[in-house]
Amino acid sequence: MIVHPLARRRRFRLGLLSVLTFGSVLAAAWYPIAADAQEPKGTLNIALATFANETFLPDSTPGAEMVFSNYMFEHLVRRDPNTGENLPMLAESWQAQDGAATWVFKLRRGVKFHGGFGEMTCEDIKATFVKGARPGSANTATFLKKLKEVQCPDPYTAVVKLNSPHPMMLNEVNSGVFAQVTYINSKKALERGDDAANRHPIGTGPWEFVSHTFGDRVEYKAVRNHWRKTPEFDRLVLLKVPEAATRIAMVAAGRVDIAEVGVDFIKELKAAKVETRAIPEFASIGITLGGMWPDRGPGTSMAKLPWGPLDDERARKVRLAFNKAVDVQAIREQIFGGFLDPTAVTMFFPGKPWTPNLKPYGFDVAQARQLMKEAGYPNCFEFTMLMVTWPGRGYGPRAGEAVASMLEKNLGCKITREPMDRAIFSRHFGARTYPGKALAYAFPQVGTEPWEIWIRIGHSKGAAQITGFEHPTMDDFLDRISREADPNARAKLQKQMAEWAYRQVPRIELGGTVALFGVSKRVGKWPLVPGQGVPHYTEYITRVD
Amino acid sequence: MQRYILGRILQLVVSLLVVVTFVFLLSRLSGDPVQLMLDVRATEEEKQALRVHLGLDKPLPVQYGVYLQGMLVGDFGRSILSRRPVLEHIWERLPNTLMLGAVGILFSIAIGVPIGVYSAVKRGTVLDHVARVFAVMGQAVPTFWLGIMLILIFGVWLAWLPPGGKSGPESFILPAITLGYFTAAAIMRLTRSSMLEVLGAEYVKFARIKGLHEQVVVWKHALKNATIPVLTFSVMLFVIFLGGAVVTETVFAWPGLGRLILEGINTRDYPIVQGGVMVFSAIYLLANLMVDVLYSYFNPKIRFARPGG
Amino acid sequence: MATVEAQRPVLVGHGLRKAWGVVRQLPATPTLILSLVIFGALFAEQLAPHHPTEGELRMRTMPAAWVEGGSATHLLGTDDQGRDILSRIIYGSRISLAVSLTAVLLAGTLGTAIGLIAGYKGGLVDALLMRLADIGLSMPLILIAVVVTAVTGPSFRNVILVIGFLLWPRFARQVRGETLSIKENDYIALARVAGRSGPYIVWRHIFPNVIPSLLVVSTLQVAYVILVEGSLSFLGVGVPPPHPAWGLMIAEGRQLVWTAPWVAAFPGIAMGLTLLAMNMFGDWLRDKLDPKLRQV
Repeated sequence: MIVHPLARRRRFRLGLLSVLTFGSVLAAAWYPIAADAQEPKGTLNIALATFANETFLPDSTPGAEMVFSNYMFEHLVRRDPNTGENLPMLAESWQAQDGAATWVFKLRRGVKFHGGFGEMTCEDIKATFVKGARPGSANTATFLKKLKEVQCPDPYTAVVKLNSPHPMMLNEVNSGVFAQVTYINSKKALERGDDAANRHPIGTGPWEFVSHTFGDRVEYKAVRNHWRKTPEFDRLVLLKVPEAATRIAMVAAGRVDIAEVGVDFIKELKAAKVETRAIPEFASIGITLGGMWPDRGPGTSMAKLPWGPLDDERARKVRLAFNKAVDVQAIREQIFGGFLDPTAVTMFFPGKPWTPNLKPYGFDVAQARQLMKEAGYPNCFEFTMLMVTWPGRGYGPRAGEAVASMLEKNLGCKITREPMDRAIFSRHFGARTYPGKALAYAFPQVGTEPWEIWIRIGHSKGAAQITGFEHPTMDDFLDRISREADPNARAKLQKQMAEWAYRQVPRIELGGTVALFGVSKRVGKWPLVPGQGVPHYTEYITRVD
Repeated sequence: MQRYILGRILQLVVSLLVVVTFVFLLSRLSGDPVQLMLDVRATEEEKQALRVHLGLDKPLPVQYGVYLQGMLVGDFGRSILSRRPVLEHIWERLPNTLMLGAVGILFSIAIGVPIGVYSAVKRGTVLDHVARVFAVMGQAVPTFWLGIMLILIFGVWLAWLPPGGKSGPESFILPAITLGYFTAAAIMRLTRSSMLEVLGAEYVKFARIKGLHEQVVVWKHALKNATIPVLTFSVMLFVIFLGGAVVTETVFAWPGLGRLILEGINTRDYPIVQGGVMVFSAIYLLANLMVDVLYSYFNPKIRFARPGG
Repeated sequence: MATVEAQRPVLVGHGLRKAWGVVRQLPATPTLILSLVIFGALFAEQLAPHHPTEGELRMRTMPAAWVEGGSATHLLGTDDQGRDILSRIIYGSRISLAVSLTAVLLAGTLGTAIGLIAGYKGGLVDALLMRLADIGLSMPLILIAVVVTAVTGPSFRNVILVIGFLLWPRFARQVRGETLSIKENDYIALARVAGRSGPYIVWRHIFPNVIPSLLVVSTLQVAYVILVEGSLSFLGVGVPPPHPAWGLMIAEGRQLVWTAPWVAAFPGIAMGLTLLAMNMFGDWLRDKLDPKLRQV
């Protein structure tokens, strides 16, 4: 059964509004602890496209590593799969103080680390955060960049002090949000040194680490009588299988139980008669018209860039023409099998309190040609498009190729395709070494509101400036939003930001899409949190024998 | 003979040095390794500190010397991604590559030799023609395409065999066939021609006159003498297999050395690429050496065809 | 591995009649296939029914014309982007031939020059150059090519240069062997006595006699380069998209084995047939020009 994203959206929205409920939240855990009467048995096999950087350390994991490590770790909070609400995990309750510049977490008692590493206490929180915040750390959680100190007034209370207010703190210490690698490590385990800590990682999760063969497989075993949930399967084996077609064949034949598959393979999954599970609102796909950096000087020949700078009216016409020359509908149907929500602005999904009532620009070749003529490019021009592959998700290059050939056919552009692995491209993020190039890329959801990804990709001082323009108006919007503690005021500001971005047309917008998994007959119920793009909550999967 | 082997070993060392130098230069020419190892937001001081730590602040010749020294004692550095010693990764992967190669050789001998023998004995029959078509095809079918078609038929449509990855013994079948088809065809051709030669020889004729059973003549007397070139050729097969390892391992998601190197390339993990290429080339060169030595042992004429040999 | 050196008659200039005689003896199947490939490469614009890179996305993954759901406008069906597979295969033959011929020309020129010098000069020069060739021959070619093209970036130029530079020893070995035996002929000694310079003798007396075996080696190496280029493109480090290189088409089609297996199958068949024809033609040429020439 395929759950269409729209079906889940309504319930999810309610949850988002209550995400920032300050004060203690003592909601009952969604799945009662008493449910594990059954003895775990059998093996749950998961085929993944990539293990990302393949490290378990909190300071060498930019985010995507969750895909292979989150099973054995736990965060301070987690999210309710149905409402999106924050639930207690390692923290039983929390409180924001000093206008959200100080966060106090009351920790659960009696949570044990694997392998006899003792009870989890505030010292472990401190060790994890301090390591993640060290200079040169690859951890992308923004609160770590503002970390002043972690105080431990008693073993079960952690006081996290930041240099400036951080209202979205809970999203970054959360197991239910993509790319948040602030899972809690054991202090004692980390003190063994990086090498040992990475070879035999220690966590508190429902799965305990058994072995890791680099680039090939990771094995975990179920923790009996886990405080939260004992898995129904005895073993969890992760296999790295880079080819999507191979992963589909494996899950179709029951050789693996869960296969991570890009949404562009939806037709293949159907042909293979594989049951699918979808996580809505996972990524936003489009072509960034990049390289408009005002501070980069004459070397980048800003003046010669046909689609920049941002405020130039001629350049805006080119950007608009590019959008109108692309048949998004055809791409949605043919490449994404319908799983592409039309969005007018990146990550602003329809029906949200922060999404303005704007329509995508629409497909109109005649108008596009007219605009190009007005801009002074009747036969378009030559440029390079970077085709960035997310491992296992072919939609970047696939959608990019479709867009490129439409621009060539409809406007007469000449486009050089430059295929690029995401691992390499991520190093261009901050270095900004792709002047004047267009960029086929999918932005993942990393928070609960759109500004959280925008501040990473669109702020001139962002961790990964990938939108390709740096604009004072954008910076100003994002700075104001990130300081705003009131969700309603924040929604209003984001709405204004989206309207401004829509007028500027910074990229060729294709839409938002889901994360997809093919599952075998052995996978029963499996609660999934919207936006969290890696397999998670595997301990709650019910086994069908 | 000894002089020849000694010379060949010397040449192997020079070849290795060429490979090592080449890979060193390539990885240094393709960008600052520090840029790759640190987070994009790292400060200039942090970068400089790492450069000093890795010895990258020293002039290139000095770096090269240090690098060579490391290679000599088997220290290939640490992987940028995993931060573990490169040698460890290589040891993890190498057995898989060698094992697949061995199974591939067994497969191609098991297929190639009997067909070659039959084809020679039943020369000119339909079976002979079929076998020869099989042999000619083996030269022409691209291995990666064959692999995909096998996956399509046995992994996808019939779902009899795993479409990829290394699991039980059954996971060897498809990659071994893919690797072995090209060489099975070559073995078949070689067996056929050596059998034809031997079957015409005096002692085989004599054995026939003696009234020995035809099966015994073919399998015992004739084949025994046809094995020498086939055996030598098997080592050569190993060389060919290694050459194709990158492609086959990629097609079948096989956790071998070839795929390790390719993924190292994709993620710009140069220590992995350097160490991997070095070990891979060393084995490749060693196998090549063995072929030459075997050849010159069985056929001393060859040695003198070489310059100064 | 080894070369068996042989005496060979000097190739005398061809007459038209002789040329026709050769054409008449051409092996039918490989000649037909190769003619088709060459013809397709030369006249791709006229022959291909559609544009090779501009597709119609709404006509994506159509099967071949004779299968249900197929259409006569796309004889071999369409690929992932709705591009005509037949047209891409025809344009792809141009890429395969252009890359392999240029690379072989490069390797052949370099290898022949080195082989001639080594064979004619002998002594230390010979020993040094041939050691160099041995080193080149013992390298894992595909692996080195993958590493180089991956680092320098996928492009036609890089693919050709890398393969060209890795292949020269195969030519040098062959040419050197031939040169050594030709050198022993009386007429070479005569030319020397007549005061002809070394380069003159090499160019006028030795080189023409090397041409036949050079042709044989080249034909077989063209097939090999097509295979190597295909492997590189397949691994994503060869010819970049959207160019219709056969290896790249197979790699793209591999993703679609569930819904459109023909996308990977057809370019593979085209490539297989070309290689088959190339090898058969090379074998034939070898038997024709020099039956004694075995190991190349």
